[in-house]
Amino acid sequence: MEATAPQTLSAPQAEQAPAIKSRSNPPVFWKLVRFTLRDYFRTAWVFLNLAILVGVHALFFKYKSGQGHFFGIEYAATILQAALTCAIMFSRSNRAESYAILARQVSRASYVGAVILAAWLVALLAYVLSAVFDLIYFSEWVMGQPLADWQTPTNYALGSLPVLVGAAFSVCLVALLSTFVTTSAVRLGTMTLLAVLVMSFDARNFPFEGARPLLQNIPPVLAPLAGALKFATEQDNVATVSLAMLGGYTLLMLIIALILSGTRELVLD
Amino acid sequence: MQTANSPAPVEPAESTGVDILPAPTEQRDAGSATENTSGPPIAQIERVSKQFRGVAALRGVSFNLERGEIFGLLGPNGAGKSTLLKLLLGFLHSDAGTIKLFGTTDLTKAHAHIGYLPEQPRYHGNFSGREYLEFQARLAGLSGRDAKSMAARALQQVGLEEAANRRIRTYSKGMRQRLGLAVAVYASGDTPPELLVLDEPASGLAPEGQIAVREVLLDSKRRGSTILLCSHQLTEVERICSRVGILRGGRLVALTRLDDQSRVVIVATPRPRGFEMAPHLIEYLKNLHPAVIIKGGLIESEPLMLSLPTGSDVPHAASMKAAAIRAIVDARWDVVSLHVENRDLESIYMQAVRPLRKEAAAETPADSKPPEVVEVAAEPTTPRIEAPPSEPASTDVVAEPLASPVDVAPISEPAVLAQPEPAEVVPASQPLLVRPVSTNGAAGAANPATTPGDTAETAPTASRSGPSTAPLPPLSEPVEPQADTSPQGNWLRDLRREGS
Repeated sequence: MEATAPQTLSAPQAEQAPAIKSRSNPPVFWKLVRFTLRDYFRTAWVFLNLAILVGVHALFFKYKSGQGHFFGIEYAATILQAALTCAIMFSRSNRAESYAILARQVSRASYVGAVILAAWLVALLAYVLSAVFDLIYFSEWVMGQPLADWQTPTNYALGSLPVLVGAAFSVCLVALLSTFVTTSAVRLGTMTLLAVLVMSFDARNFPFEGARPLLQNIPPVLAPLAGALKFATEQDNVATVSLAMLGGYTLLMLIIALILSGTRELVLD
Repeated sequence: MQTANSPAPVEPAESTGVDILPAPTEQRDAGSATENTSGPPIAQIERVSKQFRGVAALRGVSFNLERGEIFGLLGPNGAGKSTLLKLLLGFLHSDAGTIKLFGTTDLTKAHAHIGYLPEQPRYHGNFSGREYLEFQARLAGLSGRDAKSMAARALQQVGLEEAANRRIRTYSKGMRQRLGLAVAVYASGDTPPELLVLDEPASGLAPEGQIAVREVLLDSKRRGSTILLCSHQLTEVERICSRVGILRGGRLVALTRLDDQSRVVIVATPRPRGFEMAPHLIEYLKNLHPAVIIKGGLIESEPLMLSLPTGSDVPHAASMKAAAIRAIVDARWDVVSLHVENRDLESIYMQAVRPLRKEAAAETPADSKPPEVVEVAAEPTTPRIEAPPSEPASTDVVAEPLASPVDVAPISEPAVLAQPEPAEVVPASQPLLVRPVSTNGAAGAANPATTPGDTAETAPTASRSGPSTAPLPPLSEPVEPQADTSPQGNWLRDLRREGS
C-alpha cells in the first residue's frame, strides 16, 4: 500500500528535531497584564474597590485635612485595596480557566508577575482616583475655598512614593500567601513569620513565656512599613531608609514569589 | 537528517522499556488521514511515576508518541490519564522518569507547538468567544490583525460564529467544548499545532458535534498534527486512533496498534510423516508476515495453531492465507479448523482493565511494583512462536495462559523486549512477546522497502528477504487434501486453486 504524502508539513516536522523557538517574554507578559485587568474590570469586584474608595472619603477626609492625615489614610486604604485586589485576582487565577493560558508558552512566573502587576495597577488607579477626587471635591471650584498649602504637585509626588511602595509590598505579600503561588507549607511559614515579627514589637503578650526573651532580641523588621509613611511628610534619613527597606522587602518577596511559583505544581479548581 | 518519507527509525527498547513499533503507512478512517511518522518521536515518556500524598497516580509509564499518529489514551476513571496529560504539559512534575517533548525537557518551551483542550473546558466567562480566541491567538504569537481573522475563521470552523460576541459564561457545555477545540486547534494560526493534547474532546457533545470533532481531528492530522487523545468513547477512539495505550491503576497495561485486529486462525494436525516437516513448515509460516503468530506444532501430539493478520488494511491477506494453507497441506498436515477472529477495541480494553491476579485491588505505593506493560499480541511486527511446555522458556514468563492466539500478553519487565532474538520459542502455555531484530535494527522490518504485502506475495518462493529465509523444501510427494464434503473442505480446495 502506498502512503500518500501529507498535505501540509511544516519544515521542522521533517527535521531531526523541531526547533523550539524561544519567544521573548515581555510581549506575552503585557498581554497577560492587559487580559487580567480586562477580566477584573468585568467582574463585580471592581465595585468593592469603588466602595472602599468612597467609604474612606466619606469617613476620613475633611476639608483642609493635613498632609500627614491625607497620606496616612491613603497609605492604609491603598494597601488595603492592593491586598484585596491581589487576593481576588489570584483566587480567580487559581481556577481551571488558567489551564488554557498556561498551556501556551506562558511560564508560571510570568503569569504570577502579570497578576501582581495588574493588582498593583488597580491599587494605583484607586489611589489616583482618590487623590483626584480629593483635589476636586475640596477645590475652590466646589468648596469656594482655596486648596491647602501642602497640596502642591511636588508634595503629591513625594507623598505618593510610600503609598505606591506600600501597595507593592502588599500585593507581593498576598502573592506569597496565595494558593496559586505557594504551597500550604510556605504559606503557613510566612504567616508564622509575620506573626512573630509583629509580636516581637512587644513580646510581653507572647503566649510562650520562655520565648519572650528571644522575641525581644528580634530587631523591628517590620518597622520600615510604618517608617516609610514618614517619607510622605518628611524626607529625612529615617524615612528614606525605611522606604528603601520597604522597597527591598517588596523586591525580595517578589523574587521569592516568582521562584516558588515556577516550581509549584498546577492543580486548579 | 530524516526526510518526510524516510522510514521511521525504531529506537532501542531499552530507552523506553516499551515496545515502540514503527508506525503504519496505511490510511485509516476517512480514507485520507495519512500518517507521517518519520523523524524522532514527538513525545518520549520514560518510566514516569507520580504520587499524590502517597497514592500512586502513575507507575513507571513509558511510551513514545510518534509523529503524525493519533494516539488514544484509555482507561477507567482514576487510571491516571489526566495526570499523565498534565505531566506532559508540565502542570505537574513527575516523581520519577523523564518526559521529553520535541526533544526537550523544557516543557514550557514546547508549549509553542502544543494545542491543549482540558477535560473541563472552562474559560474566562466575562469575555466573548471572539475576544477570548483573539487573546489566545495573541498569546500564540499572532499579530492583532492576524488574531482577529484567525478568531473569525476558527469560530466559523467550530460553528460558533453566531455566538461569537456572546459572553462565554452564557455558552452551553457543548459550545464551550467547541470553543476549547477552536482554542486548541486553530488559535496558533493557519497550521494546527504539531501536537494536540485533547482530554475528552467530544464530551458533552451531541452526535453531530462528535462527528464535527472527529472531522476536525482528522483534518488536523492530515495537516501534520500528532494527536494525543484521552477519551472514554471507545467507538470514536477506534475510528480515528492508530494506536492506543490503556492505563489501569496508574500503569500502562496495554499498548497496541488498532490497524490489525482481525486475524485468521488455522489449526492443523500432522498426518503420518507430517511431523517430520514441522520445523520447515514453522520456519516457512513465520516468514509469511511479520505479525504471524504460531503456537504449538513442536511435539507430535500438539496441534499447530497459526494466526495470520487479515482484513482490508492487510495487503494481500487472501494470498497469504492461501499460501499458508497450501504449505500446511503440502507438508502433510491436515487443516482441522479455520476461523476469523475479530478483536474490537472494546474487547481489548476490557481485557486490559480486567484485574490481573490480586494486584489490581491493592492500591500500594508506586515504588513497590515494577512497571508492567501488556502488549496486545496482534502487533503487526511481532512474530511470536510458541513451543510445547517441554521446551525451556528463554525469556520472560507471564502468569496467565493465552486464551487465544491474539490474547493479551503481559510483559513482566519491559526490558525483555530488547532481546535481540529473531524469533523465540516459548511453551504454548506461556505466551511471550518477542521483537524480531532485523539487520537494520527495525523491528519486524528487515527491508524497509518491502511491505508486508510484498512479503506475502512472494512468500511461497525462496527469494524472500527477511530475518530468516528458510524456504519450504520441495515436497517429493505433493499431498492433495483429503476429499471433504464440508463447506470448509470445498473452501480449502477453492483456495488451493486460487493459490496455485
